[in-house]
Amino acid sequence: MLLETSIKTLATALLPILLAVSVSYAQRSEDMVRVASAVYLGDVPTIIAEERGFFAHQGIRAEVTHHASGVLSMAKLRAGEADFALMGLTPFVLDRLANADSGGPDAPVILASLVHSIGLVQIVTTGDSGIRQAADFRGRRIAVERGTNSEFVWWLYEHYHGIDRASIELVDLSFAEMSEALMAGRVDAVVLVEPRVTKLKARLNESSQSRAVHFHVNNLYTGKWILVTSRRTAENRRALCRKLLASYQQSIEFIDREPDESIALFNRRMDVIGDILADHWSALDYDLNLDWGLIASLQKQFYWARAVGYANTGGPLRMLDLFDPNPLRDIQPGDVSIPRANVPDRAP
Amino acid sequence: MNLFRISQFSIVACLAGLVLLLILSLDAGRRVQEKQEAIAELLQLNERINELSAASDSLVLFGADPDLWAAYRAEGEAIRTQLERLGEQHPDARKAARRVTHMVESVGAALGDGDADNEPSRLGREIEPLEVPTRSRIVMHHVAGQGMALDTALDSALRQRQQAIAREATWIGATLAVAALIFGALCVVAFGLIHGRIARPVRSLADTLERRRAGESGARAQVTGNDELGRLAETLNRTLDERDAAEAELTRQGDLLDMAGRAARFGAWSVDLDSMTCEWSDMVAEIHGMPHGYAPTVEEGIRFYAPEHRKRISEAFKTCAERGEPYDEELQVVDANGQRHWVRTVGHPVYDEEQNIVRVQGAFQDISEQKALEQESRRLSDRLAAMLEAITDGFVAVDEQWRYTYVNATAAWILDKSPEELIGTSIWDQFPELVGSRMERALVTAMEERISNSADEFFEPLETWFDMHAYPWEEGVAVFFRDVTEDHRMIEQLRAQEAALRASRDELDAALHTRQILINSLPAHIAMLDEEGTIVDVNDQWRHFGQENLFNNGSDFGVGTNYIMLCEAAEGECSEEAKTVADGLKDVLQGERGSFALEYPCHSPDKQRWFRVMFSRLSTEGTAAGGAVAMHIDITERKLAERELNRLAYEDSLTGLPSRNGFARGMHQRFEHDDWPAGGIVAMLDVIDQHDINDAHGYKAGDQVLVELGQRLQRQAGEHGLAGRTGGDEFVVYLPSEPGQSAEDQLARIANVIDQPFSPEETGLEIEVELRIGYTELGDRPRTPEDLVREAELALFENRRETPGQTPWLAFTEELNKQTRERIRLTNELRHALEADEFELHFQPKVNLTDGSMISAEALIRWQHPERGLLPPGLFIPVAEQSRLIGPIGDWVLRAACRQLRDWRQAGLAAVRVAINVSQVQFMLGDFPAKVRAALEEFDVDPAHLSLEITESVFERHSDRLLNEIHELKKLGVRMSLDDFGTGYSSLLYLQRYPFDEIKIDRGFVNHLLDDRYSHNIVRTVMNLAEALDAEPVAEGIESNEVAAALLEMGCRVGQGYYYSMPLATEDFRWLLEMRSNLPLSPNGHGR
Repeated sequence: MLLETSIKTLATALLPILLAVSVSYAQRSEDMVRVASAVYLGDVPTIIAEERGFFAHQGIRAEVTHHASGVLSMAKLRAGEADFALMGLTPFVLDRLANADSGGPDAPVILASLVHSIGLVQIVTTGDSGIRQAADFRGRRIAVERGTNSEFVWWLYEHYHGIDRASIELVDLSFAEMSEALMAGRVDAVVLVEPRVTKLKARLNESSQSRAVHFHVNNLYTGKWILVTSRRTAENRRALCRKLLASYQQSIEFIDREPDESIALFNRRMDVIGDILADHWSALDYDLNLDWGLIASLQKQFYWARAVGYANTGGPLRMLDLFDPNPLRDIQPGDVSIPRANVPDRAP
Repeated sequence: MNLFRISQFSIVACLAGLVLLLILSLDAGRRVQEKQEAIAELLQLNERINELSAASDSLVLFGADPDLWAAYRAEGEAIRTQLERLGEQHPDARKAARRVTHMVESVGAALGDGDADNEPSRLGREIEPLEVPTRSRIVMHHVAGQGMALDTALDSALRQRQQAIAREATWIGATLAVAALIFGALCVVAFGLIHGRIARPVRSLADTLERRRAGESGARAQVTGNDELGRLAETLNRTLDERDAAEAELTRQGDLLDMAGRAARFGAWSVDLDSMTCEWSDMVAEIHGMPHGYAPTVEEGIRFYAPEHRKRISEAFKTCAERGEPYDEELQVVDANGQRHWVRTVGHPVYDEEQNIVRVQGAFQDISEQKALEQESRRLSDRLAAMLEAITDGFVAVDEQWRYTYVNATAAWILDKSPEELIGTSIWDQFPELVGSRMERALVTAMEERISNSADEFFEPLETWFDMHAYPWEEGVAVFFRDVTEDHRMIEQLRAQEAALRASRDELDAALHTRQILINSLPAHIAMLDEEGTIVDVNDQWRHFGQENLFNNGSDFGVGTNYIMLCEAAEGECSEEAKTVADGLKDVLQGERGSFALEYPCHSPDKQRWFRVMFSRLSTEGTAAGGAVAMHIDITERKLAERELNRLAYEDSLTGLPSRNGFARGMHQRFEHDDWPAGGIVAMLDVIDQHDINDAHGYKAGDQVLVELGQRLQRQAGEHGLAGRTGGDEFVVYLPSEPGQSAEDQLARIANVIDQPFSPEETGLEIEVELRIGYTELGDRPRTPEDLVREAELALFENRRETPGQTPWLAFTEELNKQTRERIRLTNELRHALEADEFELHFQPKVNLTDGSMISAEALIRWQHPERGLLPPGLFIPVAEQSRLIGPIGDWVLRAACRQLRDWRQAGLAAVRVAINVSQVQFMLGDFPAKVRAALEEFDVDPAHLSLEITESVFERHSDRLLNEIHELKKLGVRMSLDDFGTGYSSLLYLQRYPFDEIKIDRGFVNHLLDDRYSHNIVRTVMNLAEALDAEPVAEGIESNEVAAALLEMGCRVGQGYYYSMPLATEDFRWLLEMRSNLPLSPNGHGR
């Protein structure tokens, strides 16, 4: 009897609170954001956040567009047609070198790295190309998309294997054009990203042409996939950035928990037949963070850009100006390990 | 303190304990939280240190802008400060703080940040990275990046684990607190219960007993419940109720006694010896014919007795009154009316407290009627005795103590004892043999259960059969018996004759039954044939088989069928064997042979079966008079087992393809029927990294790939070719010559079987495999299939040793055959060399480059080959590593080096450290640290005098076990050296984790130090790395003074090479130790 009375009293007291919370939740307005991404296996978290409603769960109405490469994502951000962009490091590095507004409100800043991966960029040729080892690339036409990681990866490969740049012909093609060019024999090899590699392989099989031959660069290149926004957005809409990062964190936790379903969702959205994510699963490490590893990777790309002649018109490079770690630090302080910029002994 | 107070006090104490428990729980929770926060802080600090370490690599490789450099230093300073603070409690943290400082300073030094005034961040200029070839920069950054990712992932895992532990600790604490609270509450309840259920009821019981004692007859205890005390109160109340009832019953019993006395004319009397007056009960007065209440004197009372009895009663009373002897007498009195009455008077003395007789009292009964009845009974008894003496049966009577009370004359004659001998004695004393007999049971039953009983039994002592009947009577048992010995003798004779007849009949039945069961239970079909071959009897198996498998003419092979005619009429599949059987049976029946047997196949309706038929002649006289026994045994199981054995020997169970033996047999069959197929090939192939497929997708999927591959190979081999599986992932294929096809074309056909990926059902994935092929061409020289397989196998083995990426097939050649034989011969010689102790150690000094003084020596093994002379290790160590002989050879080197160190020490020579080379195979063989420890202990060598040189190749098989073993060796005190650095696989990540004391720069770089900028940069980078890793760089292969000088200028202090000394035999090196000269020696043998 006493228990029954207590439950009734508690229910009476909690009911108004529950009603108030649900009304408040229903009346909460959603933030509209535009996210520019690219067709890339590392972008699974974005697909999952859309499909599983993690953006909406954080009060965000996200309009996601998938572009052919990270170069276009960066262009959308620069043009103000996107609030956030996802890309590899190369478009970001080249944008920084080409623009003099570093530190300004429109300058892109990195909010977080989403994935650490190997094996998602591969050099692909056909079985009848005769290319069996690195030395066989000499005198051949290699397709890369300039300004993307494919260009950077090829540079790593040729330096590692001692291939003289003058001995090969680099052909600038978009990722979307590469498969056709390889199958038509216009180029001898392509530097391509997943899931396009798998699609190319399937097309070669379907057309009964020679099978695909892969040259991995796993021992040279580690892929990063970063979330970028303008410094203005990062500073003025910090709460929105936090929500967006929180929705990505939810996606990553879902991927860790339900890998099979994640694979299926990505394959369906990207029109991929087969289980490519499963093949790469052990090489994919989805994690939201900002660490020295990211700085080191950026340094390596700046080193490359200078080495291959990309001019720096953006002034002296201040590495820490490329980040805004505050939103991520707000929600997951343990995942931010890059140093703070305003150190006491900063040079004048 | 009474129980009531104690229980109240306990309740209060429990409440206080409960409060104390709450306070302690809250305090413990607070302390646990503080510890968890401290651990979280340490984890975070560890994470920052890992990041800083990784950042150091990055800055060294790529430099930094001033802000980044300042941030790096600030982070280092912050970590150092935090470690210093931790050092107040944990001294080791101060060491870590100093190491952080050293690391930051090392990075600064490496980047040209030599002095504080020139500090880059103060100057605001870019910090240039270390000058490293681009290729090295790419690889080092990639390895460092993997390390950072690994650290990040590990830190993340540690954080999650730490949070999980914190949650678990909180949960455990809360559980303990709740448990403690529940325990406290239960204590309060328990003591409350003690108070309510024990103390209060006990008090109620005590009050009740007090009231009862005070005389309150209605006092009862209060019943408080159904527990023990409640039941005690109930029991007490019940006892009090019973006591009250007993008192009432006593009163009622007194009344009943009076009633009984009146009925039996029974009364009581009492004499007060002081007054000598009698007190009579009413009944006693009535017997005397006196009114109730009459109280005579003793004298008056005695005068009521008949005159002839007065003296006797006077003496009895006197004796009782004076000496206390009771009396019980039957006497006659004469009442007041002059009537005589037989009375029974009983007297007893009554004593006071001093044991003085103060009263005599007793009972008094009129027994006149009883006396009259006794007289009548005696008369009847006399008449009965006369009758019993006259009967022809024996009759005895025994009382309740089994004593004879009567024995008639017949009984005395039968028992061969006189009545005088028997009467008064026990029946069991007279005839103890009765105990345990049926007659004893009959007697006892009659006596104890009062039931008439009888027994018919032979009594051994009298050698007589008795027919005995026992009847209970009031004084015991009456027994009639008679001698029936003669009757029994006749019956026994009749029974013996009947039993003999029955036994003969049963034996006959049993023998027949056993034989029938035996025949029916045999797993054979058995029939009895007469001399014409007609079946006259069959067993069950024959009958059932015949009914289930009717012969082609409808016969069921039953009784009456002629076996010979049936076999001769057989048609179809087994008709040939049937005719043979008929002929065999004829021979047996005609006495031409004693038996006949044949095994033959037979198709029963549902399956193939085999039988063995046997005929055995019954007559031994060589004629057909006795007929024969036909027996069919089903030998199908044995035949199937033989087939299965055959299959197992020649077929692979997984793929169904021929096994190695099956393949050889199949080839033999082909070669027997066809000409030697000169254009064919035999290829052996295996799947590259099949174990990776098994690891990644499971053994089931791996097996499915092998099965599918086998099927494809079989299809490729075609009708005239042959494919087999020789084990594991190895297959063998024979392709006969095809017009217009070369061996290469045929091999391409085999290689093409993997063009399509494999799709095991288990995985739902497509798996691509690669093949490695060795083959031999059949050519014109005929060989056995076994030789062909061995040649292909040899080629495959050689292909495995080849560099991957070459042509996937390799042909067998005579040269290959020769090389293989050479390798086997060398392996055998090495094995013999170990047993014959043909190895020896040479020593090459390692010197201080500044002055040429010897620091240590590298021990190098040599083989004193009995025919080829002294062999360097390069000629036999690779073979030893392949054959695993490197294990015992490495052990020999270890022990030989330790023995040499002991000898030098005992000879009083200056201590010098000796380095030995260790192969990664020695680590793979396991327990290497224990072997090192044992060798050091056996020769009593200081571990610091032993150095182990390990090549970079060990990292190719990096494992936690390897890392632990190297740390264990380091902990043992042995010096660890990384050999041939720069030629193999060393990552910064591994270098950081392995505790090397020195890094040896490979001779290839040192040799070209002066003429190749690339080598120069490598040497400098390795030296920088060694410095960062706190290891000593040692240059190998110094062959000139110029190279030594350049190394010294670059900061390298230690080196070895022919410029200083070639490897020396033990005696020469000992001489060098004794000389204590600096190196190189001058031509006259003195140091420079």
